[in-house]
Amino acid sequence: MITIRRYAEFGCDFPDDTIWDAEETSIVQTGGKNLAESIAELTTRFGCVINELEDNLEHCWECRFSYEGLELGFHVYHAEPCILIVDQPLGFKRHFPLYCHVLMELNQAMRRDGRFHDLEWHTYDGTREGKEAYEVPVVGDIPEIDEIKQKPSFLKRLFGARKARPEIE
Amino acid sequence: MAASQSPRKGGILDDIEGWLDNRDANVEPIDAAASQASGGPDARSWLDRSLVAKTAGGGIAGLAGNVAGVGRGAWHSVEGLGRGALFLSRLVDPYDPITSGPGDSARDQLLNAGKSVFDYAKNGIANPASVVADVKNAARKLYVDTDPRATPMANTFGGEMARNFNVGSNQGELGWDVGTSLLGSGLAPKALRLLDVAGEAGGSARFVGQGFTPAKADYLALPYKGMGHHLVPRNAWKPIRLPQPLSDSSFNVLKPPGMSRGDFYELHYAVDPRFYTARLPRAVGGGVWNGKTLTLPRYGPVSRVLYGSPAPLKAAVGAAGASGAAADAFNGDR
Repeated sequence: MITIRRYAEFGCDFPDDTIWDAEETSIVQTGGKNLAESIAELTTRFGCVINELEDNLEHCWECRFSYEGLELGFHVYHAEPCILIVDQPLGFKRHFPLYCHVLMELNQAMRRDGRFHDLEWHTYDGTREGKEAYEVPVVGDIPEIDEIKQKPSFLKRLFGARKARPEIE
Repeated sequence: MAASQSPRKGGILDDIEGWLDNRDANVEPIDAAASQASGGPDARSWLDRSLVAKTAGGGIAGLAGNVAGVGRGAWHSVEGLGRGALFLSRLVDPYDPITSGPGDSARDQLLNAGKSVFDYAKNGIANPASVVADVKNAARKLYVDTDPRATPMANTFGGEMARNFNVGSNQGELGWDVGTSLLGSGLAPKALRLLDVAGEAGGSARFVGQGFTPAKADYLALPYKGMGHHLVPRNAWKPIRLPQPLSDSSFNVLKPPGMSRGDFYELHYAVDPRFYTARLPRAVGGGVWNGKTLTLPRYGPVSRVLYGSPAPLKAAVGAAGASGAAADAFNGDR
């Protein structure tokens, strides 16, 4: 059984980079671009590829990235505390071990980086985060990356090549 | 002859003046009938002149109106039930007094409605004649709305059909209302229709009470000027993402007019699970408005759609399903 906590709260030392209009009544660019770029850069260190970094105006910054072919995304809010939500992947259950690896690697990368502090993880059901705070985002038996890669997909197993029949002379 | 009829013509006009003010029944002016009565040439077609044809046509239109009226009554009841359900859900929602401005919560509205009824009863005891006059006016309006004999026959065949269709649809709706009220299902929405939204948004004092500095509280008390809440998020998953003109249209954006920033942030936090914080400008000291820090509640999935849908979208969805629309279109075209 694997437990996933994909909502994180943390402190950070990034300056507020919100861009306001001239009267400071409307936001032109949401604050947190520098934060989102830094987290995106952290994910590239363990093999992720950044596809898109987008301003969800007046909300947060969103990043879409992929890991071993698995499409993922995160939302980051530059606030007090900062909030990071890593989207669950769409698709089959076999993707979940890869997703778990991303969460664990991201947790370690953020803890190693001095710009982030007081990182804690919470469960998240898509609308609400759990109250309990944890140090790690994933608990359970997660197969190694190589093991996941070697395991053929359901479709491959269904339509994959059969053992060659011995030729009769 | 004409001289002797003039006072009578004026009397008829006086009698139906109120009816003409309130209704758009396409009844031809009585002046034409009067000119015919005074001996002028009658340029109307045979159909318009025939009493039998107009009576028969009016009868058929009245029956059609009955059917449309029942549909209209059913729709109004559904509409009322929807509003009533929404109101009741707010009434039992423990967070409603927190998320609503002072005087805006369902409980406050109920208290205000009760107060209005009490005030009316108190005035009625002090001045019984006003109650009698109100009852008479209501009875008169009901008579004009539902009895074809209360208004004169129209001058044309088409006008007479429209008049009977109107009266018939009013009868149909009345029949639906009485029937459903007797069954107990129509009464609640009718009562809830009486409740008015009252009260203004709270001033900056409320935000000071939440722990903001006076400068920040003043900023939060100013009218909200941002982009509003998008029912379908602007950055939704691409296959379901709306084209930008539609995404930013009033059908997708919730932005109640006149709402203060602080009130809107609270509403936004309640209806949008992806909205957590709002930056405050440096001019007021910077920092963030954070719904979680303020321990504000979030709505569940159903309430999110109910409260997070913009009014034009609700109206459009309602209109699309209106079974009485055909009757209104018929009247409007004529």
